[in-house]
Amino acid sequence: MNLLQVRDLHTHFLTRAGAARAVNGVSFSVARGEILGLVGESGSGKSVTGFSLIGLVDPPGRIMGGSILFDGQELVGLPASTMRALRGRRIAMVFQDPGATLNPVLTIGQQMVLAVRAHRAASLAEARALAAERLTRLGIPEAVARLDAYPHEFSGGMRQRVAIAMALLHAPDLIIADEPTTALDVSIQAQILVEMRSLSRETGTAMIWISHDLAAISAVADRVMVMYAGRIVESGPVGPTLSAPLHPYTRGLLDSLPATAEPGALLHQIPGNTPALLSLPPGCAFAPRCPRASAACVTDPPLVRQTDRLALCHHPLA
Amino acid sequence: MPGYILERLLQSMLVMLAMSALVFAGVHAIGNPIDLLISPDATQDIRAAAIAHYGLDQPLWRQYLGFLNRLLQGDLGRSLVFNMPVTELVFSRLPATLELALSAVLVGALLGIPLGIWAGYRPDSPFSRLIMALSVLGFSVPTFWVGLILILTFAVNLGWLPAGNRGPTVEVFGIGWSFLTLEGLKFLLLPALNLSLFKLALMIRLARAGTRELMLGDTVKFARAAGLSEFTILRHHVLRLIAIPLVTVFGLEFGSTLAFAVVTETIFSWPGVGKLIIDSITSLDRPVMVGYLVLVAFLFVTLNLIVDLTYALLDPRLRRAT
Amino acid sequence: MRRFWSEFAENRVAMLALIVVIAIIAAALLAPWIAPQDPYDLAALDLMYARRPPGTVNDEGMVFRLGTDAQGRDLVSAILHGLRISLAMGLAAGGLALLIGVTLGILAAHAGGWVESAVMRVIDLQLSFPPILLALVLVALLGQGMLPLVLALVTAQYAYFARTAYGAATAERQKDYIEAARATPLSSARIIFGHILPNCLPPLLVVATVQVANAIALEATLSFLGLGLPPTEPSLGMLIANGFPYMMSGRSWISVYPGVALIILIVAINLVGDQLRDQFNPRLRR
Repeated sequence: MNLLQVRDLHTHFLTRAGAARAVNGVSFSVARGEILGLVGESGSGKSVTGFSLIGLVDPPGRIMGGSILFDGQELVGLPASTMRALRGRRIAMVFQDPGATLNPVLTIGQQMVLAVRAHRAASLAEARALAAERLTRLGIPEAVARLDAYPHEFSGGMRQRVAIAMALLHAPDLIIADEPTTALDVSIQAQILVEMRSLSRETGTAMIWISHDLAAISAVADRVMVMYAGRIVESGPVGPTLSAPLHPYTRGLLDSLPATAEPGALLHQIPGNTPALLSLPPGCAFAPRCPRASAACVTDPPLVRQTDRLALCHHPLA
Repeated sequence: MPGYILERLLQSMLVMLAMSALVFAGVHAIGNPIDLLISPDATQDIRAAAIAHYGLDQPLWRQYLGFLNRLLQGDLGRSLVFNMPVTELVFSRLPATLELALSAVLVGALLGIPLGIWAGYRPDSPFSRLIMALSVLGFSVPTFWVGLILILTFAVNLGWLPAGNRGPTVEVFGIGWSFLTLEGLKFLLLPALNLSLFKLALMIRLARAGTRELMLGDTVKFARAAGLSEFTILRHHVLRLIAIPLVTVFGLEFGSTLAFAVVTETIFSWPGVGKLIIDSITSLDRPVMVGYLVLVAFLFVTLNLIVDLTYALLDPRLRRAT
Repeated sequence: MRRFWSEFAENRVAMLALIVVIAIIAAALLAPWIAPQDPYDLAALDLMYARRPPGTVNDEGMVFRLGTDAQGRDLVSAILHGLRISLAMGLAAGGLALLIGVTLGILAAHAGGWVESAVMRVIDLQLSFPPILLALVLVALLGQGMLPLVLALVTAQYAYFARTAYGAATAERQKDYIEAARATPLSSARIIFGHILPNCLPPLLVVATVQVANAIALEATLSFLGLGLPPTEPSLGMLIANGFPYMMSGRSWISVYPGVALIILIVAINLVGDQLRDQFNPRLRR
């Protein structure tokens, strides 16, 4: 059985101007110990998907329907206290900017102890020992001494390691990482990507790695999902999907990477803009910008299956 | 850290110096300084003697030095009305005012901060809206009117509490404090409540604004993702984070509390420093006015210093890196 | 502009407050005509009717709807004229404080260098002094009367305007379009008036409303303490003070009604100011 099974998830933002369908019928699964990459531009709904899984969607957003099965337990509609028991213990989350998520007036030791005691009764010494052990595992030297340091005394990369260490405190089954390396220097990024991958293998922790950076995803993930306008338009193992994509959008994303561009030539761009979530066109949301669009694309595109790969398209690329 | 403390101390002393210069300049600019020291109907001989004694025929800078010298020795002149040294007079009244001000501040903080945090945590609940509406009243309505209403309701109509004056005192460290007796507390209750209302309203609004902003921020989100209970989040994260701006305002507002004590003391006939200054303004007891000014300036500078130091204690980012 | 009004109107309380403020201003302006009695005309006052409860009728058939005060003045008239004075003082002091403060603030931001730090240090120092204390000190030194009172009020308040204007001006100056404008031959004055000033207006408007309310409250407090305007032209504060001795003997209306009028005015202005502040605060917008 899969660790996580999401079926037809809908998370909408109910604003005065109408309902913005940030997550518009998303289905996927994550196996134990698997690293899933979730790729998309801003506004594609990837972060909201992550928040929906852990139950932290801010109003006016709400999960309107669908099912999230975590280790056989239905998360949608779960009472708040039960959900809270899961958060941090079995499902953890790492955010983009550790400078904003770590409390500047508390030592990291104090914050980690709070996180430990949220889920079990532990003495101060026990909690601190656990925290120090996790910090060491994330490669932070002199962990015990560093427990009494404040967040601003760490560099950006170190801060993120602290955040990840906090996420690992209770050995969760799943970590959702929302753009965890975007705010860091490129060299640190690469380091952390490699470390996360090996960490996942070591501990058997599954990960959902949310990012807009295709290169990062290709370095860390086993499987990748591409999101556009609230829907998953393609998914599959990371290698084949990113070298020979099925969906025109994925193709467009890859072609836009500066790394794939010919030196001296104009950078490729996907024409047009991402659609406003309040006024999605009928049928395929990507159709207005798609070079392969036809009259058929005003109806909802079918899910095309090719062994372990999926694409939501009338005219897939293979 | 020690560097910071030293720096602030030096700054405070400089400000005190500047203040003393200002007061001195003000005294000499407005009217004849001799009127500050002796009664205007004194005879010529006494005037001449006073001029010589205080060196008022000396060049200005010498006079200033003399003024400073007297200040440092605690000599602020003699009250024309009470015929005793101003310093003695003020210090005899100070405990009453301090008692009142501290009680008001305590009420404001102990009541205001929790109420404010709740209003910020659940901003749309009817209780929160009620608190916010009342807080608007709390700081628009002038203190003196609230005092009036309090007297009207509790003293005149209901007769539960006395309408003025201070209750019996108990001597501690040679100073009489009235809050240590039950009778004394009855007299203290209304004036302290009156004085605290403004502060209460302010605290509520500040705590609410701060809490609301924090609850929508990333730190709280991360804490929730770690599975912390809402109460833990409020207690450990929110409270510590809003403490910083709150303490700053708190400290500065203590000064304003002392200022508003003037009004409350007048209404409730509370024998403190505030009533003293009003009486001395109306009776033109100039030495007392000057003495009060100097004292207030000193208090302010000290307050600012304490606030700055507390700020550093609360926000680790301000301490010099080890 | 239209969106501003529709958002404003959504908050019923603020809308009501605005209407109240306008009504009071209208009543105050029309006071000489709509008041049943001229409270300053000493000849018209009859001590026979002093301290009478609301509803008393005098021998000319005039109804003292809110009673009379210790000098036999009809409270309705006294309150109307008192509101007039309070509003006048509040607006005058607020207006002057605004002019002085804004000029200082913008100039400081524009001048830069040591001028800027010196001016702002003084402003900051003054901001930490409670307005009532400043006002007390000035009245003590200058004596009583209209001019010292206005001076005291202005001195107590200009610092808020200066700070706000300074903050807004500094923020604006750092924006790119100002840099661009300074590269052109546009004179400094034009930059200030054309660009910086308009963008400072929203926070200034909020501060102005609150400060007018504060000025009114401060003036009332000073008058209550006996340090304000002369007793022949009683402002609301003085009326309340006059009635204070009679509170214990059951004749509370002499203080209470002027007090209620004062409160309504101040609270209404503050509510409007609150709404403006919420509307101009980008961080609270969803």
